[in-house]
Amino acid sequence: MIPATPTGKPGRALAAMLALAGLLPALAHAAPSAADRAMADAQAVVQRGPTAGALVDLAAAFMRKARETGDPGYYGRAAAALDRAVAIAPGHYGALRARAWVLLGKHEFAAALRAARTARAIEPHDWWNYGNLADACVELGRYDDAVRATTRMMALRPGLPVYTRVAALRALMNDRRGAIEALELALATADPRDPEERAWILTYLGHEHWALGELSRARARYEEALRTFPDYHLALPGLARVHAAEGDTAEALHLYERALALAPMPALAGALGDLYAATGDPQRATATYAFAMYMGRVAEATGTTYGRELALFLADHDRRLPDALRLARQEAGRRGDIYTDDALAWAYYKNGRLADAMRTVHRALRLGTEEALLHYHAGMIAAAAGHDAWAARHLARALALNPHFDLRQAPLARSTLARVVSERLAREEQR
Amino acid sequence: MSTRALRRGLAAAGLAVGLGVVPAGAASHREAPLMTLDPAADITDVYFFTSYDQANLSRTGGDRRVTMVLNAVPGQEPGSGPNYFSFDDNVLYELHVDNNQDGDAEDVRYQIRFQTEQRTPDQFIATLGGGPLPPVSHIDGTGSDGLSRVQRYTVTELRNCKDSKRGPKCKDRVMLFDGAPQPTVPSNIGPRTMPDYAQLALEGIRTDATTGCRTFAGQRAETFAIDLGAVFDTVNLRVENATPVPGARPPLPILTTAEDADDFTNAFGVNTFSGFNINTIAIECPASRLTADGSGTGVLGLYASTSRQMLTVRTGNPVVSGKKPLLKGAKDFRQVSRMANPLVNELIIPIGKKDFWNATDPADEAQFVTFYKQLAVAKALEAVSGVPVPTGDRDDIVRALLKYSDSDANLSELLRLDLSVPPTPPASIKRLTVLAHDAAGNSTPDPAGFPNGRRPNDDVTDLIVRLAGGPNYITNHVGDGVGVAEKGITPDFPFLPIPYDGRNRRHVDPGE
Repeated sequence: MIPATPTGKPGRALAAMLALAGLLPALAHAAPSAADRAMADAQAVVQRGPTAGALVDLAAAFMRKARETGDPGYYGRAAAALDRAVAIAPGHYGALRARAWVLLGKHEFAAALRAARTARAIEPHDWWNYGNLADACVELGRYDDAVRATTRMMALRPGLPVYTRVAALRALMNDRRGAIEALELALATADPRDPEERAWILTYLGHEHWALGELSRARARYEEALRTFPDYHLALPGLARVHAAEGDTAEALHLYERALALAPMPALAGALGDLYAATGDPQRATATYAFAMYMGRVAEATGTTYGRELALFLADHDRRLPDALRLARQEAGRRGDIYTDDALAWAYYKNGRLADAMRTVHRALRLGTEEALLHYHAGMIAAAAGHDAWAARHLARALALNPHFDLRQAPLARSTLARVVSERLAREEQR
Repeated sequence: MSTRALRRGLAAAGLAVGLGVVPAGAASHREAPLMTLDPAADITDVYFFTSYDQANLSRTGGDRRVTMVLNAVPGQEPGSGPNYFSFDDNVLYELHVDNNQDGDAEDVRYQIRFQTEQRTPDQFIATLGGGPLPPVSHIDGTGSDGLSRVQRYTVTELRNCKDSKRGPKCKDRVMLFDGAPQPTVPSNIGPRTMPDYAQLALEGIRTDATTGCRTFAGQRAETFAIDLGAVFDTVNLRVENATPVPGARPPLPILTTAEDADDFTNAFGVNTFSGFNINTIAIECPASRLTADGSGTGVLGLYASTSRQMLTVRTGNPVVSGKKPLLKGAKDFRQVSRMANPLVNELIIPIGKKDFWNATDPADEAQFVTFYKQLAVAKALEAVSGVPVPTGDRDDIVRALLKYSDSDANLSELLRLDLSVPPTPPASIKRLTVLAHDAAGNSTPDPAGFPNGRRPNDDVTDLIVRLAGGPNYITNHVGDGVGVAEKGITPDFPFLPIPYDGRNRRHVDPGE
C-alpha cells in the first residue's frame, strides 16, 4: 500500500520501487535476542493471565526490542500493553512509571515530562522516575532541570543507568573526556549477559571518540560493539563513517548498505549517497538520494520520530528547502534541545533567512558543546551573514575537532574558511 | 530520474531494502538504558552461622568460629563462555556486624574490594584453556598461565565505626594479609581447562595470621533452592504434582509428613536454580573477634551490602584535547543493595520502594514496618487459596526479622545469630530447622539454622511461607516442593559446593 503524503501524490518512481520491493528478499533474522526472549516470556505469562504486572513486563520487553532494532513500531505496542495494564488495574504504579519511558520513545517529550512528574509525586524515592525526568528535560532543552534530576538519580542509585545519563550531560556541556570516563564506568558495570546493552555503551563510546576526532579509538569501540551484538543498527553507521574518513571506501559502502537494510533512515541514505558521490559514482548517488527522499515522504505521511534528521538531510542536499524548514520548526515545537535548534538554524540558513539563522544558532551553541557539525553550521551561517571573525573561528574549530566530520561538508568548511580568511586579509590590506 | 533508471540505480547500489514495509526509523533521541540488572552488585543470599566443619564442631563456647557469606552475580549458567563470571572492581562489597544489640551494624565491618589483572587485554576469549596454553593448575603464579585474567581482592576490617556524610569513620582498621591482594577462584570452565578444580578451589582458601580469619572469593554452586517461577507467579505453587490441602481453592500443595521430613529429595517443585552457579565471598573469623567483649559469646547481627561509586555531572575544567585526565568525579560510594534475612526485598517490600529500601540502613527499618505488619504476601496466600492466615498486625513477623527481643525498640533488619547454640553436624542438619520433624511427624528441631542466622542449605522458602501463613500452613506442611540442592551439604569452609563446570552442567527438572 502506498501511503498518501501531505505534500503531493507519490510519484511513479515510488510506485515502481514499492513493486520492486515485493521481489526483494526478506532480511535474515538471527537467533532470538534477550529482548526476543523477554517478549516471549512476557507474552506467555500474559496469555496465562493478563495481570497488570505481566503487561508492564511485556511493555518493557517491547521497549527493549525497539532500541535493539530501531523499529519505532514497538513503542506503539508498548503503549498498548500499558493501556491494557491500566485498564485492569487503574493506578498501577508499575504501569504509571513506565508511561514516561514509552512516551519518550514516541517523542512525546512534554507528555513524558508530565508522566514522569506524576510518577515521582507517588514514589519520590524511585530513581527510575528521575531517569525519565532527565531524559525528557534534555529533549526539551531544560538542561538545568536535567542536571538536577540526574544528580538526584545518582544519590538514589549509582549504576549504569545514571552513569550513561551523566555521560550525556557531560558531552553536552563540553566535557567529552568526562563523558568517556562515565561511559567506561558504565561499561565496567554492564551485565555480560546483556550484549545489546554493552553494545549500546560501546557505540556511544565510539561516538565520543569520533567527536574528538580520534578515529582509531572510535573504530575500536564500534568494532567491539559489533562483535558484542552483531549487526547492531546503531554501531554500523558509526563504523561506516570512520572507514569513510580513513579512505576505506569499500568497507564504508558495505557497512552503510548493511545499516540501511536493517534500519532504513533518510540520514543513512544521505550519508551513503554522499559516499557514492565522493567516489565518482553519481548514478548510484542519485538513486540513493531518491531513496532517501522516498523514505522521507513515507515517514512524513505516517508520522515519524525523525523529522529532525529528515530536515537536516533535505537542507544538506538542497532539496525541498521549504519542507526542511517546516519540518525543523515542527520539531522545534516539540523539543527544545540544542540539536533541534541547530537543525532549525541550518534550515533557516538554507532558506536564506539569515537573521533567524543567527538567532537560532546562538541557542544551539548555548551549552558550549564541542561538536564539529554545530561549529560548522555556526561558521557557515556567520560567513553568509558577513560576520567574518565569527565564521573563521567556528569553521576552524569544526575542522580542528574532527577534520573528517562529514564527507560532504568538511571540504565546504575548508573552502569557506579559506575564502573568509583571504577576504578578510584583502580588506585589511586595502585599509 | 526515470523509473527504470531509479530501479537500476538502486539495484546497482545493492539496496536490498524491504520497501514494502514502512521504513523503520531509529529514534533520534539518546535512549540510554533504564531497565537494567546489576548482577555484580546484586546480593542474592547472605549466610551467617557457626561453622560446622569437624574442627569447629570440636571447639566449645567462645572458641568457635563464625562464617559470614555474601553471594552475588546470580543465575550463572556454567557454560556462559567466553564472558565468565567475576566480581566487579568498581563495587564495594561489605559485611556489617552488630555486636551490642543496638541494631546499628557498624561495630565490626569487613570491606572487600577487587582488582582485575587483564593478562591478554586484546584477547576476546576471557579464558584460554587447552589450546596453545597449558591447563590451569594454580589460581595465581606458575600454572595460572591459562587464565587470561586474574582477579584478586583485599579485605579490610574496620571497628568502632560511625556513619558520616562522607562514609564511615572508623577508629580501628586492619588490612587482612597485610594488604596483599589474594587471588579469587575462577569460574569452573571444564575438565580440559581445569583438570583439578577442587584443588584450585582449595588454593582459594586463605588464612590471615594476624586475625585468624579465613577468606574465600570465587565461584560456587548455588545452594538456595526455590521454585521461583511458581512463587513469583502470585505463589502459584505446583499443586498439580502434590497432595492438595483439603478445601483450599485453588488447592494449596502440601508435602506429606514423609516428604516433608526428607532432606534429600525434592517433593514436586522445580528448582529454578538447579545447575546454576553463584559468586561467593566467605569470611570465617573466631567468634571472639566479632563480639564486643572478646568472649565469643552472645548474639550477633549481620547484614551485607554492595555500594557503587557516585559521579558528579560536572567534573571540573572541561578539556577537549586531553593533555591530562580530568579529575575523577566524587569517589563517594553509595549503598545500592543490602540483604540480611531471605526474601524480604522480594516478598515484603513493594515495587517502587525496592531500590530505595536497598539504599537505606537496616537500622532505619522502622520506616518500612507497615509492610511487615500488613504482610501482603500472607494476604496473597489467603486470597489465592482461601486458607486463612493470621489476622491483625503481624507482630510475630516484626519480632522474627527486626528484633533481638520482644522488648527491642530498635527495629533493624538483620540476620541474628545466637552464639550459645552449638553447630549441628552436617549429617544431622535439618533443612526445616525449627519446624523439622521426622517421618512419623515427631518434632526434631534443629536450632542452629534460620531464623537463628542462616545456613546455605536451610529451606528458607518453605520456612518463610509457613511463618507468613501461620499455623494452618505450618501444620499442613505447605511448601513449594523444593528444598534440596543436588550437591547437598558441604561440610567444610566455605560451606558451599564446588561449582558446576561449564562443559558438563545440567539443570535437573522434577522427576529426574
